[in-house]
Amino acid sequence: MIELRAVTRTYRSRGATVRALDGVDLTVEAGRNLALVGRSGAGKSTLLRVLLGLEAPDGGTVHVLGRPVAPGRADRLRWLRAAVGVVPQDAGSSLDPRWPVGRSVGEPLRLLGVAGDHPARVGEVLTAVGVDPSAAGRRPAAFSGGQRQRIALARALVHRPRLLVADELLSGADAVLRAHLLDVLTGSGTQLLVVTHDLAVAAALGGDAAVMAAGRVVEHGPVAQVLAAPAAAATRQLRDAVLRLPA
Amino acid sequence: MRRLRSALAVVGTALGVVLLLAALPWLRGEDPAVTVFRALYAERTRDPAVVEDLRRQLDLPDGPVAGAWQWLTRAVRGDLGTSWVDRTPVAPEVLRAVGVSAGLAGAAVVVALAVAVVLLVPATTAAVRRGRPPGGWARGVPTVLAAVPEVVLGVVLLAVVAVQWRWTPTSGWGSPGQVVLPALALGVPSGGLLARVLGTTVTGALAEPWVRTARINGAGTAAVTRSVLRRAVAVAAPQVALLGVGVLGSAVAVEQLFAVPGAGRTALRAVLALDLPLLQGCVLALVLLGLLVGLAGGLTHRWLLRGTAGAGELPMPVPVEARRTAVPLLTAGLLLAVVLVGSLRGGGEVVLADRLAAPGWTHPLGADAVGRDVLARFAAGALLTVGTGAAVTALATALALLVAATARDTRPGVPDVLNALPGVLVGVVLVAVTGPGLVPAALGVLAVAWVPLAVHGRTLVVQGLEGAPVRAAVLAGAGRWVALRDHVLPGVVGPLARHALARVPSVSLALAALSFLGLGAATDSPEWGAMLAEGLPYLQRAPWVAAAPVVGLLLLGLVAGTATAPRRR
Repeated sequence: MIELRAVTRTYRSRGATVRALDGVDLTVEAGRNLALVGRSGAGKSTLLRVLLGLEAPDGGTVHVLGRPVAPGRADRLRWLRAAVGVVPQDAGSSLDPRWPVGRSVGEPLRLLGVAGDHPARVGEVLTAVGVDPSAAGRRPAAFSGGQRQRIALARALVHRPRLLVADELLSGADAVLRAHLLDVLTGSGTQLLVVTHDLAVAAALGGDAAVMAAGRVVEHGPVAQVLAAPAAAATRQLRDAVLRLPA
Repeated sequence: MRRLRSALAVVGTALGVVLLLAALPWLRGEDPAVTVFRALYAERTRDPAVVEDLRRQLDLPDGPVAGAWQWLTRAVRGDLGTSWVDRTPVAPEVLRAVGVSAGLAGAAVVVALAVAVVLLVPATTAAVRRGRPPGGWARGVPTVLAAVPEVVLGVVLLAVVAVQWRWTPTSGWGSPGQVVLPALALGVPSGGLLARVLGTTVTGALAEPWVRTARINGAGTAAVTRSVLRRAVAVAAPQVALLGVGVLGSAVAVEQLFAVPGAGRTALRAVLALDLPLLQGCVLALVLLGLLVGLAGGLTHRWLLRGTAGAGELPMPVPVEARRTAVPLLTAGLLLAVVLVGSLRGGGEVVLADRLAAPGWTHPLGADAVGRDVLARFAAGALLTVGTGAAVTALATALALLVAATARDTRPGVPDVLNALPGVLVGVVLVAVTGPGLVPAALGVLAVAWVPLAVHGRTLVVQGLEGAPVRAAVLAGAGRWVALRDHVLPGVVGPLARHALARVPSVSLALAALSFLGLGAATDSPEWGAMLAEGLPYLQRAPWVAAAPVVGLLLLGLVAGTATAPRRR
């Protein structure tokens, strides 16, 4: 599904160079969920930007579904957009404040030229994330932050992508909403790639976990195995930082 | 890459402006030698022998390229050529005129600073003490002062202080008494504008979290006031520099009004006499002065913000007020009512028996020098003045939208160079090419009127493009153009249209200023600027002739000053 080989990306700011990606190798097989875990600044977001064709790597190769990914004109990347649904980091504010939310949710269908009854599909996917489809005519301001996150999730799922990428979707959510969003994610039947700095989320998703630190993937394997016997110091640090209720 | 493109755009535009100026004598579409002939002998039949003789005497090159090259290479060495009219070297004349202008500007700056300090410091101290942004009078007085067009204030000062009270001379330059009125006319509105711009940034600075932190930690009112003012001045410095550029433009009309022999008046005289080398010299000097002022503003900005993280990347605040009042609507309504009443009175025919008749039953606002009804002319002029202003603003908005839609970042570009050119000056140069007329004047105003709208639009477009909805749309398969059309432009058109609407009065005022100088509407036209110029000779015998356009332009200024542009949601 996804294959990154020796991907590097450096940023230059005020004379200092930052190696955001320092030779990343990552293979994600079709059908297996992946949690991309790491502290802030580990390179998770840069990895996503490269993966989604928003940024070109300085070195290395990126393939999705066997096809090379490189930034370019929208029509050249349409296959990637059709294959991958994305819930951006600022999910709630990604809905155009001027548009009724139903229109925002249906936007990918329109842009990708998906055939079929768009309003019906929008209603279906809104129901799936737990938003009343009869409210599709309202603007984002009429919804709470949690509802907006659900709507953004609906929008990422509306065109039935093969892979759903969620960038820190669960970080800002309160505990109850987080549990619900996790249910929706795992119940969507789509392969997931969830970016998070919380190993507990990775555990809840099942599948694999890839841990990033200082621009590299330092550990990658089934999440249960990673948690039970962490090989990298970064993983241990993240594991020990997970908050637990007293037994 | 982007920095390079920005630098190229800035240098390219500046170079283009200089090249146009250098080639000015050839842009009229006629042989400069013929222009000289006409400058010297007016309407006399053209004698080819004399024309050739002039060409040799003045050493006029063959074409625009050679001409521009000659002018540039000589200008670099400080030689600005010789006057076509009196054959004297231009450079000393320009230097003398610029000296006079600098003296006037200096006096005006003193007045402006005094006005701004008086308006601002007590208001800021009070605001810091109360912990609330300055309001009421502290906002209203600067707005009203800033709304007074310089020429109009000049005419009023002239009529009252010089003509009625005879306290000062009416015109000329040299004695201290002659400095007072032009300095007040230029300085008071600028002081109001200065206080207004700084007031807005003071409000912004007061809302910054450090103010509260400083208060909680026991910093005194005086210390916090000083910090807030320093911060406000730092943020506003580039805008204040732009105000300076605006003053350079207004100075042309004020110099003309008070017969001050400065660079503006000299440039104007040069245009009307077709003495193009003299015009080139004056314009070059004024543009350099404008760039210098702009540079000083930028440097002050950087110096005051030194050490602040990312100071170089602070976004330039959009110069619009976010406050709504009923004043502009009421004022516009009042103007409209007078215009409606006036237009019912017919065309204002010439009735010589009514020459300079005082206001009364037959002529509610009096009659002019040939007995035309002032009210009727006032109404007809309103359509010309404001209508042309509205048309120019509409074109400017379309142009601005086009420029903004292609913006990728807010780095300086073409608009930022043009921003450093006063509109009246551009109008003066354009008229030198085309000859006087409302259309060339309108084009000259248009040439700079689109700039602030484009800068505003560019900021909105870049903000929109960086916004979450656009990023989400791109990830859903939208290209740049689709994202721009669907998510950015709908949010730009509204604020830009409101901003444009608020600019109609000031654009109309710029047009009126050109007409006042005799470069726009014909002198006989009821256009308010032209009417004002027509009324000047009768300031003592029949002040009502000038009073109508004075009040009209004042009200227009008030609308311009108080009309609000976009309020942030």
